[in-house]
Parts: sequence; structure tokens; C-alpha cells
Amino acid sequence: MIDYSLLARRDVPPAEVMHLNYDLFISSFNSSDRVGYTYRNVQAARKIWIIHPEYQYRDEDLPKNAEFFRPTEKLSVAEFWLRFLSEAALTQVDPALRIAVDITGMMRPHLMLLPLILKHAGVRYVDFLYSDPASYVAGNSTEFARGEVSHVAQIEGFEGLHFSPSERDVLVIGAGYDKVLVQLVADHKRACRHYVLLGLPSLQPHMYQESQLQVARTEEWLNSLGEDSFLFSPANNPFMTAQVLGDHLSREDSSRTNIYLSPVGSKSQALGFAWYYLCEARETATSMLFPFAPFYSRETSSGITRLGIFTLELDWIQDI
Amino acid sequence: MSNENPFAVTKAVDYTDNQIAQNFVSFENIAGRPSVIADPKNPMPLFLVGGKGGGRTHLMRRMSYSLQKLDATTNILTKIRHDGYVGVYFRCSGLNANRFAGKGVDTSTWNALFAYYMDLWLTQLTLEVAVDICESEGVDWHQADIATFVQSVMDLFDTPPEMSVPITTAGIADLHNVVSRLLRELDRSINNVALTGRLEPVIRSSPGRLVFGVSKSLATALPGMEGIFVTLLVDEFENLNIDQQRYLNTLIREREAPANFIVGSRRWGLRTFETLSGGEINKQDNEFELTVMEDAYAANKKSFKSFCEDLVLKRLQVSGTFRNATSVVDLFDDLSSDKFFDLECKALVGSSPSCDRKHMSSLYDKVFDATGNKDLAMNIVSELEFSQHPLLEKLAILKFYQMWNKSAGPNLASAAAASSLVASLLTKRPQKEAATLLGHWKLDMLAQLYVENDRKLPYYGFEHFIEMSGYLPRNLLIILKAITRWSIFLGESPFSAGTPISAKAQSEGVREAAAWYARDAKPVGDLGRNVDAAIRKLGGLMRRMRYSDKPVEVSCVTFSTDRHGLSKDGELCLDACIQHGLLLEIRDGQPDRNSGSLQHRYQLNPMLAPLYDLPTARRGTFTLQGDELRAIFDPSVNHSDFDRIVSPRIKRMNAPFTDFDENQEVLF
Repeated sequence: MIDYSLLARRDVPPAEVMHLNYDLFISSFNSSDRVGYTYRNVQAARKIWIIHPEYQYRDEDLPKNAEFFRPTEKLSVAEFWLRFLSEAALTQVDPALRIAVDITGMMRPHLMLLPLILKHAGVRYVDFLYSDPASYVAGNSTEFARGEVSHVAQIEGFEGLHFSPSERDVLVIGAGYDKVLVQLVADHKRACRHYVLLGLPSLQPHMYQESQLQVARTEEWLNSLGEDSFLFSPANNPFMTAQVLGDHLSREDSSRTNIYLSPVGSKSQALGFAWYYLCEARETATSMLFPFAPFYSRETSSGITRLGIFTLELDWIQDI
Repeated sequence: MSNENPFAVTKAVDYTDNQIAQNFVSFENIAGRPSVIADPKNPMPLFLVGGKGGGRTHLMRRMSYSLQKLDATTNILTKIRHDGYVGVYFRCSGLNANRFAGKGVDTSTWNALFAYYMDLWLTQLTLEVAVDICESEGVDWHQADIATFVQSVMDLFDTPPEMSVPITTAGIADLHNVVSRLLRELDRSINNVALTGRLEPVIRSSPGRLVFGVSKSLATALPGMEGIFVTLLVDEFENLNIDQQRYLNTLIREREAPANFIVGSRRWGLRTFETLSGGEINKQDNEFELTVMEDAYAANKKSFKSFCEDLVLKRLQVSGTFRNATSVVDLFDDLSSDKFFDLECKALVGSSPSCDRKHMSSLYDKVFDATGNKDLAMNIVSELEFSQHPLLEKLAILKFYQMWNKSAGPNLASAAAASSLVASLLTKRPQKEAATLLGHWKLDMLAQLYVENDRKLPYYGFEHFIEMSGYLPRNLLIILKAITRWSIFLGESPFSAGTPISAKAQSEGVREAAAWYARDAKPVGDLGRNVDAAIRKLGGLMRRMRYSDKPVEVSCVTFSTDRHGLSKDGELCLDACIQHGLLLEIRDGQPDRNSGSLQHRYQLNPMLAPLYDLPTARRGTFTLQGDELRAIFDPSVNHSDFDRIVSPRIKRMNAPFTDFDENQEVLF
């Protein structure tokens, strides 16, 4: 059993962000206050913006006088990162390089695959940063995907070696505000036993109640929803999320049970799911699912309350 | 009082095999014989198609090996021989077929790989069943027979994989392990291609050879399996893309006994009947049969009603909630109704005098607006009063409006004639025209009274729930689940002897179920958004028609159309509404007597009716063509343009019944 609490994490108040110092800082560009604030204030010899096509930024919206990566064609998640490393001349990285990645504005499938990509590039340690908002703009009605979800599918790099389906199969959904995402994922694997992981403590006190409300609205799509269906882990601690998943799933019969994971809540929760998978579940009957949407809202939150720093030790990732 | 909800489980997937067996209710045809919707011994492949909740998965799992095993009273081989088949059930979602795409690999490579993967997958499943049979009590297959079986399957490979034990001593489980290992190797290759950029699988057999060969070997090598169909129960076909479906269609076309297919799919999930066999297309009744579950139920309405009653009673009995329940109808309260719904209507309008009732005030305003004559308006209102029978007032007003429309305007003579006609209903010999007026319009006028007086339209009665279900049993279960929850919330004792569920709980539950259906039935993606918009426009239009001064069609939830003039996106949208169960197609298309073009008829799914205060039963039909049809289904037409286009129709139904609007623009 892995003890994820050994991994380093700390919280930094907004005023202290300017004291953070790295050789390379990577962040996904969007219009949220907290993303811009972190980018401006972190000290780094080199900063690179990632421009996700899902945000549909036009040329004139893009940051001026900044290095950015913006693919011109449609790429899969892995292709996206491999192209990025190539264009940024990072295909073989000096392990001593101090790297930070702000995942706050990053697409979930991308932030989830990035640790594995960086490991292959020779990176051993990387700080993943995530800034907490003060609130979401539409409260419990906030929708992050703009427009409709196009399909639910496995995330590249997180596809398992599955057995034939059975009534033992499990789906764990990391739920957040967007009830439609929970509904679509649950419906996609409607024959599984469903569990819902909620952020508790949540990023802000009211957010837990709001997430519960959203889950209640998807009850009909979740199988046998009851008290036993819920898992809890702190919303801003991906290592605890990984721990909770590891502890819960270790009770399943891994010789016969297919496990599906789907983090549709906060980015730090998504990182926790990914970290669990990369450390424990590679080459097992475990897959990560995601409801892909072509477009995302650029600005869903206001304010910044704190910056979480999670140091990933990439040697922990299973070799296969 | 138990707070257990006997309808908590609404999906077959939520049931264990034991629960499937316990809760299964057979659908019987009119003569009382079990209706054979799907026969696993029929050599003709079958597509079992329909909406979510039609009972496909339930039925297919019922035919599966694991349920055969539960039913077996002696040994499983005896049971299989008795049944004449062994059912190999699986869900296509288990293939995670989305991953056979992209990642820098061309489509033809993926298709070839998928075909091989599918063959191995089906082989693995068949072998799992064979292993279980072999290990079951009372089954005594000799090693020699098993070795023959194993050898014959290994011979199906062009490049045989390695086996860790000699074939002569190998068990079926060893063979299963070989196939599982091959699948894992493929999984690794497929999963890692994104990062490695390489996909070099070893394809060890020709398409179809394994699938058909293993079934044949099962039947020839293993005692007791001779003459047995190996029926592949392929569920959730909609999870395969068009190329993947072509491959399965090819297997169906090229099938070899004893392998057989029953394929379950959502209606919208049937992407093609094309095959990879020289461009041939599988044709219904030639290469396969197709059964739409809802149509099978709809063809036997009485049987479906009995089926629903049995379903409910079984749930109550199994859950222990009401073991002695024998009649379902009595479990639900209804609002006792006299001929003119007097009690109900008086409760709606309150104790104010007739002239103060909302429908009377509205009448006054309309006559005054049309004539400027207060005295005339007041006299007409007085003439149409039936203070003890608010419903008759509504009918009289309706008749008056009908006469207004035909003549030059509102006049006292028309009011008097309308009043006299309706008054005959209070005599022993009502006029035939009055009886027809009442028979046609009473429910719509009652509905108008509810809405005008800001009260929610009630939906109650088990018969209505069956109607609402649209022949999808799961919809009925969802309705009952929501009703039960509301009943408990309101402090009632649902399903206790002598205490029927209140009309309020029923109505609230029905509304909740309607909202669920609207969310659940919608397709994913932009198509879902377009479909949602179209249904909102259509439902809104039907509502405005029903609650107009002079509705033209009785309880109108159905429209006919020639479908002409729709854009490609509009056609896509309309077809998606049908395939996803938001519209029901009424299959009696008649040629239009003027133009000769075939008219299609579609009903708004009755599950959605409560969202728009519409009736669940189908009666009148209105025509939608040209601009109006486009305005509803074409995604490029926004809501305000839609309003402008349908405005003339609505104006003709509301006093003063003209469609002239000097501000109207011509859009098309």
C-alpha cells in the first residue's frame, strides 16, 4: 500500500506567490484572475503559456510578448504534449531543472497525462500548482464545458487491460458542480457499481453542499445511490485523493473486476485520480474516462484565495 | 409505514442475476401465451431495438448462460439441451471501442485490429461459458474430448499462439488463458501507441474464423452440446462506430451454424447495415429480423397493460411492501368526477360569482376590445353564465368563440345560441351537438380552468401512467418511483391497504419523471442542443394551441407533415427527435388528399406532456408544413423568429381570430 502523505505539498497565500522561483514555469492560458495572477507573480527564467484550442482564443486575445505553445491542428492529448516538448526543446530535460506547472487553467485530460510525459522526458521532480478561487461565477449552476459534451471515452495513456464486463465492475466519479458530466459518465458505464467521490473539505465551505445538490440531481443515473456510494477526500489535496482511491479500490478483487475512474470535479481532484493511476493502476483492468467537450468556458471563477503546490516525484510512477 | 421504495431500481443493469430471475415478468400476447419477442433458437439473427428502458437488456440477460444456470434444476448441460441454445451475453461498452481510433494510426489499420480484437473477445466469452459448464456439477467431459476441443480451436489460428501446457493435457481454462493473454497483448499495444507511436500487433487469424470455429468445436467435440445453438447476445451495439458495426454486420451475414446473433441496440445506435462483404448491405427479413420493443408492446395494448400491472404487483410482492396487493388501480387515488367535474371546477374558480371568474373576465375583455361596447360585453358574459357548472361556462364560451370566428364578430345572438346549446346538457335530452361538444372538449376546458387559475394540472391514475410510458416499461417504473417518493415525503403510506396515493403525490411524481425524461432522452453533443430547442418550440406551440380561446384540434399532441422543405440540419434534428424517443412516429402515414404527398405523423412523447401541461393521450392532429416546420426543427431559426412565424396560427385561435399583423415580416 502506498502512503501518499509522504509527498510534499504546501499552501501559499497570494501575497507569497512572488517568492516562488523556478527555471521553467508552464501554465495554461485562460481569462481567470487566478491564472493571470500566478503567471505574473511567479519568478521563472522561462515561462510558457499553453493555449488550448478548447478555449477558442483568437490571435488578438493571446498574451503579447510571451512564449506560448498553440498547436494549429487537432491533436490527441499525447500528441499535444509530445509536440509541445518538441517545439519547446524539452524532449530531454536536465533532471536538475526546477519546473512548475500551473494546472488551474489546464484541460483535465492534459494535466492528467503530463506527469507521465515529463517522466519520459527525464524529469524527476515537478511542482504542480493549483490556485483556489474565491467562488465560481454561477454558484452551483456553473458549467465549465461550453456547449455540449461530444462523447465519453478513455483518456489516452489511461486505458486499461480489461476483463469481460461483469456485475462486479466499478465506476468512481470524482464529482463537482457539473451534474451533466456526472450523468453522462454514469450513463456511459451504466452497468457498473457506482461510487461518487466528493471534495470534503471543499475548496470553500459552501461548495460541498452545492456538489451534494448536483449529485442528488443525477440520482436516477447513478446505480443504487446510498450512503455507501460516497467517498470523501479534501478537494485541494490530490495526494489524499490518491490515498482514498487506493484504499477503497484495494478492497476490490483485482483479478476479476474492471475499474473505471472519472474525475469531473476540481483540477486538483483530477490530478489525484491521475496520480493514483500512474502510481498503482497502470497495466491493470483500470481505465480513466472523461466526457470530452469541444469547448470550455474561459472564466468560471473570481478571485484567488491560495495557491496549492504539490511536488510530484515522478520516480513513483510505475514503470511498465 | 415502510419508507422503502419498491420502484427504487429502474434499470436491468442494477439487478444481479438472481434479481433478474426473481423480478422477470413475461410479456404475454392476447391469447395469454408467452410472447416470443426474441427466440434464441431462431437461426435468423435478430436486432432488438428501441428506446432506453424498453426491456432489451432485461430480456437479453434473461436469455444468458448465467440465468440458464440459475434456472437449472438438474445439471446445466441438461438445461442447455432443453433450451436448445447457450446464451453468451456481453455488452459492447466493455470493448471500450473508442480507443480504436486516432493516435496517428490510419483507419484501415484500426479496423483490421478491431476485427481481430472482436473475434478474440467473442471467443474469450464463449470459452468462459465452456469453462463454467465443464466445471459444473454433473458435467463429465473426458480429457480426450477436451483435448480435441482445445486442438480444434488452436487450429483456427493461422499462427497458433504458445500454450504453457501440452494440448493433450490442457483444460478449457488453459485455452481461455491463452486467448486472454492475446487480448492483453493487444491492449498493451493499443494503449501505448499514443506514447510509442508504434502499433505492430500480430494478427493470428482471419476475420470470423475464431468466432464461428469455436462455436462449431463446442458443438462437435464436447458431449451434450450437439445441435445446440451458441447464441451471441450482443448488447449496447450503439457503442460501436460505423466501421465497427460494419464488421459485426459482416459476421451476421457470413455466420456459420451453430453460432447465432441477437443484437440489442438503441434505435439511434443502428448506424449502418452495410457489411465488408463486397459492399453488400444486410436487408431486413433477408439477413436479419428487426423487432422494436415498443412496437411489440403497442401491437398488444391489452397485453401491455396486463404486463405493466404484473410488473408492479411483482415489485410490491418481492419488496415485501404490499405482499397481498392484487389490484394496481386501487393503489392510486383519483379525483372523483361527476359528469361536469363540478366539484373540481368549483374548487378551482372559488366562491366568487360567475362574472368575476377569470375566464369570464377574459371574455369580457375580448368582446370589449373587439367592439368597444361595454354593455354588449356585459350582456354576453351574463348570457354565457352557468354559475353552478364552470365547465359548462367554458364550453359555452368555446362555442361562442367558434361562432364569432365564423361570423363578422361577437354578438348577443351567438352568445344566446351557444348558451342554449350547452344548457341542453342539463336536460334529459341534450342536443347531439352539445353532447359532441362536451365529449370532445371537456378535458381541454378542464385543463384551461386549471391553468387560468394558476393551478398545476393534475396527472393521476395508473392508466395514465401506462399511457405516459410510451411503451417503455422503465418509464413506468421511473414514474412510480417518483410518485412513491413524493407520497412518502407528503406523509402518506403508499401501498398500504386502504390508503391510496394522493392525486397530489401522483402529479408531483409525474412532473419529476417528465423532467428526468427530457434530460435523459436528449442525445449528446450539438445534436442534443438542437433537439432540445426543437422540442421546446414544439411543446410550447402545442401548449399555446391548447390554451387558446378557440383550440382547433382536440387534446392536440400530434402533428402531420410531408417533411418537405427542411434543411439537412432540420431533417437531422427531426430524425434525432424520433430516434431518441422525444417524438413517437405514428405509423399510419396517409397520402395527402390534395397534394398526394405522404404525410408522416408524430406525437410528442407522452412522457414530456406534463412539461407543457398537455394531455398524455393522443387525439387530434394538426398539420405542420413549410415555414412552421422549418422554424421548429431548423437549428438556425432562433426563438424570436420562430414566435413570429407561428404567430398567425396562434392569432387565429385567439379573439378576435384574425392573423393580420402589420408588423409581420416575410422570412422565407
